[in-house]
Amino acid sequence: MFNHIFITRIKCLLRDKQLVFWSLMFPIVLATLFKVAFSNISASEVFKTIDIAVVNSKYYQENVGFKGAIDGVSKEGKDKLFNVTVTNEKNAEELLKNSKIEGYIYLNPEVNLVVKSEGLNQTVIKTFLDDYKESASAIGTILASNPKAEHANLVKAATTFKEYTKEISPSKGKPNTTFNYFYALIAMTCLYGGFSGLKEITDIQGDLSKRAARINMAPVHKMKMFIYSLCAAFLIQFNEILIVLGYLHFALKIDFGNQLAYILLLSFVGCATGISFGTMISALIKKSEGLKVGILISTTMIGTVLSGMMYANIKYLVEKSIPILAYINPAALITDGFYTLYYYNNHQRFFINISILTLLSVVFCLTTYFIIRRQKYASL
Amino acid sequence: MQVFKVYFKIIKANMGQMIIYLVVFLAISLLYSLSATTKNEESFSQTKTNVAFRNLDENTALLTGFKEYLSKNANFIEVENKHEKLQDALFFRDVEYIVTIPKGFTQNFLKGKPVELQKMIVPNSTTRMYVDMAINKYFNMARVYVNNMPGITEENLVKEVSKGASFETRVQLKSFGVKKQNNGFAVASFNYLAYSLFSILILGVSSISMVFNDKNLKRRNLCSPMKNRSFNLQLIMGNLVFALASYGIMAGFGFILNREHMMSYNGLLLCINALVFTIAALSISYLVGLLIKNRSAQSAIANVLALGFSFISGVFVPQELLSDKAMTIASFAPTYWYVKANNVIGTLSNFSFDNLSPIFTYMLIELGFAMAIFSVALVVSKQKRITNS
Repeated sequence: MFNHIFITRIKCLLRDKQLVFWSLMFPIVLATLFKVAFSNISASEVFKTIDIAVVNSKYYQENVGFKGAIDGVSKEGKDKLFNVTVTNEKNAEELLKNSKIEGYIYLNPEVNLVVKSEGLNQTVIKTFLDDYKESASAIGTILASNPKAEHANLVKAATTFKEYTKEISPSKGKPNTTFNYFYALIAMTCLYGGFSGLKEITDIQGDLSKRAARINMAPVHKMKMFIYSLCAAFLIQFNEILIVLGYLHFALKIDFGNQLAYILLLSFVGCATGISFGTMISALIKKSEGLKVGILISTTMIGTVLSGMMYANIKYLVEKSIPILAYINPAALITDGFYTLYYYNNHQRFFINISILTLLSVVFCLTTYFIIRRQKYASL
Repeated sequence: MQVFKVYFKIIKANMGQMIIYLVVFLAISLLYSLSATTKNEESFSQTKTNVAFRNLDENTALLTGFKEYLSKNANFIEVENKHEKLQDALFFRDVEYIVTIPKGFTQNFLKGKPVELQKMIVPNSTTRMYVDMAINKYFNMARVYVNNMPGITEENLVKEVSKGASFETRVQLKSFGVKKQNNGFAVASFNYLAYSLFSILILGVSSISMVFNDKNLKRRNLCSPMKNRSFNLQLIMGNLVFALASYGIMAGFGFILNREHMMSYNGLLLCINALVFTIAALSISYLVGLLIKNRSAQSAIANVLALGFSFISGVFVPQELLSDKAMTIASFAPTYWYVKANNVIGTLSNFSFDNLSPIFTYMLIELGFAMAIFSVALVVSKQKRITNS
């Protein structure tokens, strides 16, 4: 009996083109679009050498200290800060006007900076110039109070830069915000498993479809039949998730952290939550299929938006201001599961997520069970 | 006018999904306009980075002075002192730099022992570079003072270093006659229109053509005494009125929300550009409508087309952030040229012919798309007529 129902249901689900589109093709298309749109966002944070110009004047040529400082930061190497063009004032202004440089420096003999707009790069240039002035003033102060100090040594001391910071990596993964979009997308895919759950209920509740009415005539226990069909839905959904995960990892190079067993566990639980959520919605709402689908899509959408699929920081905001919402939202829990696997060094929060997801699935299943159990039809 | 009337009956019956797109558009435009702020860029102010500051040492004068010094370059953000909370804050860019001062730092520093601050950062970012500069400067300066002014007290040391910090470079802001106008939010709202309007047009127009292209219905219609020309004319009128009405609602709403910025040539150009785009979107919708056979395919195609075009054309993410490859593909979509024109319009302040010509070129390209796609649609419908009869 199991084999018969199982295989028939698999055929039923796979032949539903719409179902396959939304639960498999749509996530893949959306993931591709995300990749196209977000691939350069993290690159925009990365430091690029800043183009500046220095006006060549007699003050500049005479100011050996400043010239040395400029040369120091424009040398090729790891610490290269600026690409410097030394030119006349008119040319520098032209360069700035055409946005070839971020700003230009002129000496009169004080150091001055000219920029076109405010921004991070402009601030870096200014900070560099401030630093130079500070060193100069410090040397003056020390010489004034301690005439014994040797000028040459002092200049050397003031311009030798010692590194006072040490980078410690916060975790094994890089803090790449864009990954959260893809994690939320997988959460959406898991919850779209709800479509097959919804279909299973429609196809087994005699008052909802003709097919179900016919099936109810068969002398098979309804619960057995229902569980067998759910197995079929689960198998298909789980495989779809694996395909999506594989596509994300191998084609789009999304990093999930290398913990295959945990990822599979999370996908498994995520699928279960998605399907059971769909069955519950379908059992609870005894109206047209359109309405059911509408409610399923809108709840899933709200869930995924709150877990950061449209704007990653929403997830963080929700966790910070309304933490309870993050704990009952299955999409946020799945997203957070992938996030902790990628980013955290321990599994504590991952297992909290898994436990809550399991609990939610049980609640959804029980609700469904109490609604559909022992329903008999006098006439159909 | 029967056909024309039926057109709107069908639209009315299929309103549901379209209303969702409309409401989302209105909500997002509202959000854009609410978050609009006018920023005055007359004098230069430094950009500050969000930094989390953890002090495991005591509150010594050296460190208090350091925090004060750093505040010139940083906004300090309070984050709960748990490793995971800090990790979260960094991942979602609540802070971009977490600096931790280890225990006994001040003591060791003053004794001249090698010391280090621990930092957690977004690797290779510009903000990291910038905060590093400030931190190193402070302690390097302090070191020079400690080494060269024997017997300097901690308080004096801090005083001297922060005195140095008061020597700021004079920064001149040159705008080159470009008036900074804040059209950003109106532009964002009009860019987003490309997604909503396109979705609505595909859904609406394809609903109509699905009805009228139904084989049996079509044959019955052909039997009617109504002239074919009149029949088609009414359908075309229906399409035009529907498209213009959708355009009117959306552009009108965008206009009202941003009315301060829209009462200008920029606003007028945005509206014209949106109208041109509406025609291009209508022609695509018409073609799609001819090819769609059933309702389940309809929402799938509407979603994929509208989302796809919008993503690669820079509706959701600014065009500057898209890769060159994506842009090349996107240049085959009218949405790309629409968004591009909008972005140019947003920065325009001098309406000379030279400045306007790229905008008109983009609009012409959009119209070119409309013509080309419409011709394809005519060929397709002719082909279908022949095979059907």
